[in-house]
Amino acid sequence: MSEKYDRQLRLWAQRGQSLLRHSNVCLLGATTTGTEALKNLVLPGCGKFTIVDSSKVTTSDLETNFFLTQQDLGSNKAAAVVRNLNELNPDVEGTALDISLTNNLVEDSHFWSQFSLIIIASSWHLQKVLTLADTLWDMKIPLIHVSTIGFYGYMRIYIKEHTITESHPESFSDFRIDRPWKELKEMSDSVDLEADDKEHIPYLLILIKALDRWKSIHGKQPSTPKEKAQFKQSCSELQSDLSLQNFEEAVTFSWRASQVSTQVPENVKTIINDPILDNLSRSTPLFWIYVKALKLFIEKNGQLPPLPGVLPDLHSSTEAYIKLQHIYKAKAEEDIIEFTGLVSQILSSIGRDADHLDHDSIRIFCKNSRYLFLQRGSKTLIDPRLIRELGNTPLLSLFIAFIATHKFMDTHSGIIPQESDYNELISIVQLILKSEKVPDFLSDIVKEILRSKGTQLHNICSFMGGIVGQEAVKLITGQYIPLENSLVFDGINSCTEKWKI
Amino acid sequence: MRWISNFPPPSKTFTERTMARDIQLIRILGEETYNKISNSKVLLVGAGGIGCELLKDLLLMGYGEIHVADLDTIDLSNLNRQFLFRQKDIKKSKANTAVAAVALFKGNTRLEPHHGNIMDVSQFPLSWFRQFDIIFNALDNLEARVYVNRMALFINKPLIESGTTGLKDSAEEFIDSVVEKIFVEDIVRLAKIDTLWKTRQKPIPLNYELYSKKLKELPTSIISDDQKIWTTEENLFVLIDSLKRLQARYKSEGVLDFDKDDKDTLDFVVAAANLRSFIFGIETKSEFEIKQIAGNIIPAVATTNAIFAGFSSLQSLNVFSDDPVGNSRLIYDSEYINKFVTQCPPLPGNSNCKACGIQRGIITVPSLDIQLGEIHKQLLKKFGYSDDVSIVVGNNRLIYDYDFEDNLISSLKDLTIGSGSIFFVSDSDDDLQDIELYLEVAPQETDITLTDITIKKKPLKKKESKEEVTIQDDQMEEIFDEDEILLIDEPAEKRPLEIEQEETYSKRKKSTI
Repeated sequence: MSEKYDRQLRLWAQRGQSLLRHSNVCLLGATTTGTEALKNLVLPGCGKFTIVDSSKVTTSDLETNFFLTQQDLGSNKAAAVVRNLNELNPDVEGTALDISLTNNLVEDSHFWSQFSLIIIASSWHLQKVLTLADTLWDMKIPLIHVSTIGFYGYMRIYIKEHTITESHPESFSDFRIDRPWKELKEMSDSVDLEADDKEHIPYLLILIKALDRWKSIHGKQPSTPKEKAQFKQSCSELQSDLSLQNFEEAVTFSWRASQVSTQVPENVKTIINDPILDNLSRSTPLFWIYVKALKLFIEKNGQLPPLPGVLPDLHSSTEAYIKLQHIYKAKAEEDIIEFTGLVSQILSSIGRDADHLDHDSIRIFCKNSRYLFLQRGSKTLIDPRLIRELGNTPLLSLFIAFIATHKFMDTHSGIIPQESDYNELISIVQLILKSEKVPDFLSDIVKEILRSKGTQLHNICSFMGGIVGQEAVKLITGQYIPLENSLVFDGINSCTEKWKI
Repeated sequence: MRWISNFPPPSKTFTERTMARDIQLIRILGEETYNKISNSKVLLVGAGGIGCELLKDLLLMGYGEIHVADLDTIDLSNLNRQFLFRQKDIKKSKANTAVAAVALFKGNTRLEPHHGNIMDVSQFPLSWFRQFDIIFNALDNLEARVYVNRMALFINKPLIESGTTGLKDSAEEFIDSVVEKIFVEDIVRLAKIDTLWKTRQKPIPLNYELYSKKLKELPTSIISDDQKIWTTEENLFVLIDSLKRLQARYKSEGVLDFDKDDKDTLDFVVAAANLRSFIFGIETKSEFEIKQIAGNIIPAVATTNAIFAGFSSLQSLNVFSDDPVGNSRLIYDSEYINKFVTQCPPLPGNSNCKACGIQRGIITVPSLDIQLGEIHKQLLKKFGYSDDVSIVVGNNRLIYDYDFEDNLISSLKDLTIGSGSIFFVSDSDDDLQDIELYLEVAPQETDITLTDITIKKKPLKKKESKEEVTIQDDQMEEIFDEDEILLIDEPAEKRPLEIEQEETYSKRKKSTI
């Protein structure tokens, strides 16, 4: 089991895989794009999927959808795609629903509650997309809307709130150079920068000493660009022989000494000040319980969050490296113990089970406490702010042209606009822009959309299916930072642009 | 909007006589481009993660003929993304299986699989590459990529390159501690050398007696738990068990090489490394983690492959546009907050680059009985070197320079040079640029022929920039070597290669200051 998923476990580990395995994804519209997106979730082993589509397989589906064959012609599209996708991975169970997306269905919150994520892959039903987003809003089930026309692709994610503990930062750079605790201070005090074996001193210790000297002269950490440059200069003067790797590292990473350990990033500050912390209840997700513990921890520890306890690669003797690693790890362990105590205090104070803590998730939370993310989405289709920026970002035109096309198809029961519909489409664009003036590059895109007459190009569908699959995995596993929250793709110029609405 | 003007709407009669499945392609690409694509023959090198996606995309793009080359066989860990393969296909050829899997969907496309190493000149000589209009690379290793790139440059065909990658191997220190199987005697001996332990913790030999008593109580299931960090006795258990397995195989198979996917060798390396770590007080790791370090595993998922295969096949449309080079793009995943990917036009050639800074040609000889001296004479005559040249064959085999003339009277055959060998020719006066010549044997010819190329003069450059070229070569070698594990007994010392690299690195530093 783990062998088959080996290459992806290296990205999201067993925790992520387990969430994926227990997920249930719903696809509305067995289009080529939707099928490709689902293929990218079936292969890595999402637990279940359901396809809702009442249409029949046509020859035009066969032209573009790799997962439909001649013998599927005329049969229900949802059933045919499920049959072919089921073959990809015996661990996954697919279901086909030969029903149409009625107004009643999109409002049926009971039906939707069985799913972990919903993908709607269609160029029409815009109103239904918005209603569904509304239905799913308080259930916090993510909805991804994707559509493709000719060389163009569009994607929008609707979700009320999404929290991320494991955002997978490039590195965990919290080394407390400005705030060494007792053991770390002792180790840095014990090294002599002039000693014979000075080339074995880890640069973190060199920086602690250098910063000490700097503070004894300037009274504070370097903070302005000028001070930082001066500090860097002072680091390069510590050692005349520049070929010593560790001293060179100290110069390269001198900026780490101007990091203020007591400052937590803005995203974390926002999270720990969220009003939800004042109303913790029996149903509050564990994430927020941990956030509350983090808030208390920071207050109790002179504004310092738990230490990740991860050392960077650095030049050092093995002995010094291991000793330093031990000091960082021991401190991190100490922090985890204190943090765990706070979690259990909070849980008992709100009458929840404090005896069976998930120690794994606590460890992961502590390690990532500077890299927590909270995303809050919106249900609005377009932001007036974006319209004002139309002149500066050419791809915004594509975004607006897509919305106009979706609106057109909604009012014409799914009929694809033809070249003769140019004026009507432009008038929809004018309504969106709230202006008569349509820039040339926008009307050019509208012309290209009309020229393609709803053509699906497999290549573009497969590409958009890749992006949807990727974002779906991030949303389901709660790892990595999902795209916020709209994206268009221009396959003619091979470029993308995304915006948060 | 470059393409819009290039794609006129299709004529009605044409649409009617074409297969129904291509209506949408003709509508969006136009009749002319569609025709060009359906008359094109392309080569896809690699049928792995990107390869499977790309084969599907190229097929549905309507290419006339697709050849798929791959030397690999299917492994269980491929199935999470290589969607053309099933459990029942494990151990079968990737190229053959991929082509068989898409047979149902192929429409008018002709498909041909090639199970083999693309760098094998007897199966894939340069003349074989000539039949293709476009070459797509979907490879996982740099060596083959560089090779296919050179072939494409020799015959001047468009190459579309794609690749995805995940984490880097960052655990050098650990590999250094991977040592041979002696955990007691050698350690005792090492521990006696006091000078070694003045500045570091003395290793503690394994108390084998103490642990061996506990071994019988351990369940064999521990071997399959690759997520757990094994205890010392569990490591010892796995070590002994894997040694037994390897011993049995040695009798029938002879010398065994480490392979991350060979569970017996992996178990041995993991257990040995962990025991050694334990002795030296280094953190131990799970088999899952060590597999990534020792096997140089790159994480891979379906989604990124789908995205970048999409780009790759889309880029191929540029080949049929008015300005193939100008319209082509380099595409990367993006770190910009408002972008998903970033793209830029192809970069201009770099005269220091081994791939694009070199002129290429072909030497054709009637037979391999020709003496090297004759080729040498022709080279001097044809390209107007002022004095002499040096000739290197393959990666680094020097066969001629002005004070090494012994080979001139030997035949190519005696020098074990054959069709597909690549000659790297440099001017001894350092005046003309280096060139690369691909050797082809053509029995119908009577003389040696050399492609007409005018070799440019070397740009005047400072000495330092020459050093940078050698650094690039070093780095290249380091990358080629990465599958090898060096068994080194002394963790604190640096490997000679590292020291050498550091020296060149600091040289470069100085030269750029």
